[in-house]
Amino acid sequence: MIVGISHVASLPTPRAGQLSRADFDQLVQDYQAPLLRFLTGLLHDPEVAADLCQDTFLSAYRAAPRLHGDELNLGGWLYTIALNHARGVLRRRRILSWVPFVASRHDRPSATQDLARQVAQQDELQELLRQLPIEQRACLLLHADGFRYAEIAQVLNCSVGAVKLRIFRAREHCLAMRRREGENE
Amino acid sequence: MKTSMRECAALEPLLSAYVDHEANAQEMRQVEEHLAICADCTTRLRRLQRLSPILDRQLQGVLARGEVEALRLSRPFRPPPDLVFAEAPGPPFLARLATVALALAIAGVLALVLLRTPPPAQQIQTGAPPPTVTAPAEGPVVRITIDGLVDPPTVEYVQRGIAEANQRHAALVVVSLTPSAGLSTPMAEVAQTLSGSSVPTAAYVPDGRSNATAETLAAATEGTIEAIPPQAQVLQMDLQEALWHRLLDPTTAYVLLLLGLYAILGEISHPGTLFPGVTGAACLLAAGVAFLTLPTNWLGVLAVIVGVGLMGLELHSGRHGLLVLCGTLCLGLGSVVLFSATGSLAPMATGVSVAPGVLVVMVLAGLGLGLLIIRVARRIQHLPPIGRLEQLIGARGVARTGLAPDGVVHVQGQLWSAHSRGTTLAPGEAVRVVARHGLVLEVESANYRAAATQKGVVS
Repeated sequence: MIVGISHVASLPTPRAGQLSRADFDQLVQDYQAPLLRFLTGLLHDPEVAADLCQDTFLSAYRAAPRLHGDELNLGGWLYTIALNHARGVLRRRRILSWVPFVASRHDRPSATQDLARQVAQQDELQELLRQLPIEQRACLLLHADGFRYAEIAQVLNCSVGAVKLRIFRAREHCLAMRRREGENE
Repeated sequence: MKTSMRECAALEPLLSAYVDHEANAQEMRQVEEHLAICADCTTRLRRLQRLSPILDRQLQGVLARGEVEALRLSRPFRPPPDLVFAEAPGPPFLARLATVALALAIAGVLALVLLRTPPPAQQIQTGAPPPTVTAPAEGPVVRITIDGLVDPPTVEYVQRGIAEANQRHAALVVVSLTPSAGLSTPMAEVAQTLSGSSVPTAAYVPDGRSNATAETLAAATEGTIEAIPPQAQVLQMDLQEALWHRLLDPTTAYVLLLLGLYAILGEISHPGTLFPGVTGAACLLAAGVAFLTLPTNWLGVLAVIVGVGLMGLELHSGRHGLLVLCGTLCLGLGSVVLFSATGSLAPMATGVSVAPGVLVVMVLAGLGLGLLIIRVARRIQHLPPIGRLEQLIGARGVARTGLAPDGVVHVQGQLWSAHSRGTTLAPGEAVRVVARHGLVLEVESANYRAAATQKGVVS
């Protein structure tokens, strides 16, 4: 039996079982920020992320009455819905042959810090995330957000072994990228 | 020492988990044994150990910035008003038990009321039976008929009848008596009018139709008559009296009340239909007038209104029929006590009550309506939101690609292929939807100045 995502202090475990309207409102309140964080990280577009977050809650709202109590993991379930919505957006972008992961105009570094270094760093990070398949992207982001491997596996509906492999691949990719850049310079 | 590539490949995925302390005991042992003999993998591990915290921190930065930005852009979640949030069903067994218990309670109360033995008709013993009046051989005879409830319009009608007989110099007024019940004040007034008439009056009670009310009124006349004289001229109620009299019938008033309530319910669930609203208001008004005249238990009226209201609520927030059940219960109880004194089931005025058959039919019809509402509410919950396509026209959005003139726009949370009317648009520019052709939206710049420039209004 799975009960909620426990590790992030700000994420309470919702009451399993019967979901009332008040419970749902509480759920929205608790999970809006984490979901926005996750979706923005995945898509690198705050606007789309905000829309998808709405869509996620709407889907959850529709499906809520059909949920069965005890084996329910509401937190993981919300993340799963969000990820599916994000997949949908990426799929559409691919079909429309869009450049996914446009550099966000909102993502300006603060002037007080080393501008050039930070811009380079951000560009690199964006490029990295852009190149990774969405599953690896999701694993990396969730891990950075404090999820344990087992919890990531729940959210992505895969085995813990797959999570290990994906995070390893993603980091290897990052290392390889940095190595290449080191050679170029 | 050189190890096989295969061993390295098998252990690779564990390196990352090892760094994150996510490897289990067996995996840790495997990794440590391998690291002891493989220099390559040791180097990789070192790199990963260096990279992981930095990467995580940078990603956290991305996440935090994203959250702030997205929070700024997002609005609080508001579910569409037409989407019903159904509470998950409670324990089905208890619910079923409660349903059965409530249904039995309703049935019990109804049975108690409907099957109760009617009180024995009050025999008013006026001593000697009223004398028999013989019909006059000649001279005009006027016949008036007192039927149904003896109420204010009946008083007007009888007074008018006596006056008319006076004018015609009638030899006799025959009062045909088939009343069902009487309100106390009108009864006294009718009796007074009959006994104070200068024209002789005679009561005619058809065989088997005699009851307490008829006998009371007959006692106010000079006597009974066996048959109506052939020359009798029938004087009927005029239209106003007849309508007024018909309206004051308890059964009619009850039916009007319910029809009015259902119509109002229909108007609320389909606002703007107007017809049910107007009809319902008229029905309720008429019923209200009747209830004001009749000896009404206002608690009963309230219960009926609440009952229908509860059924309406079911439509709004499907609670798995519990509201319909309570609504039916309220409706049934209210209907039963509508004309009873508080705390009693017997009518306040003898004979003033809703016809039991009509009462049962109306309550059952209410239950049927409630069941229909449950079905509809169930279906509504699973409907996709509608009306988005219609709302697209005029909606504002953002160009996701450049529109030269074709591209993609983001409108109402959806991505649409779009065709720009006028000049090309840059990505990120605000647009307004002008029309929809199949799956392609026609858009123009939402920037007023830009749009005006395109049209050549502003130079």
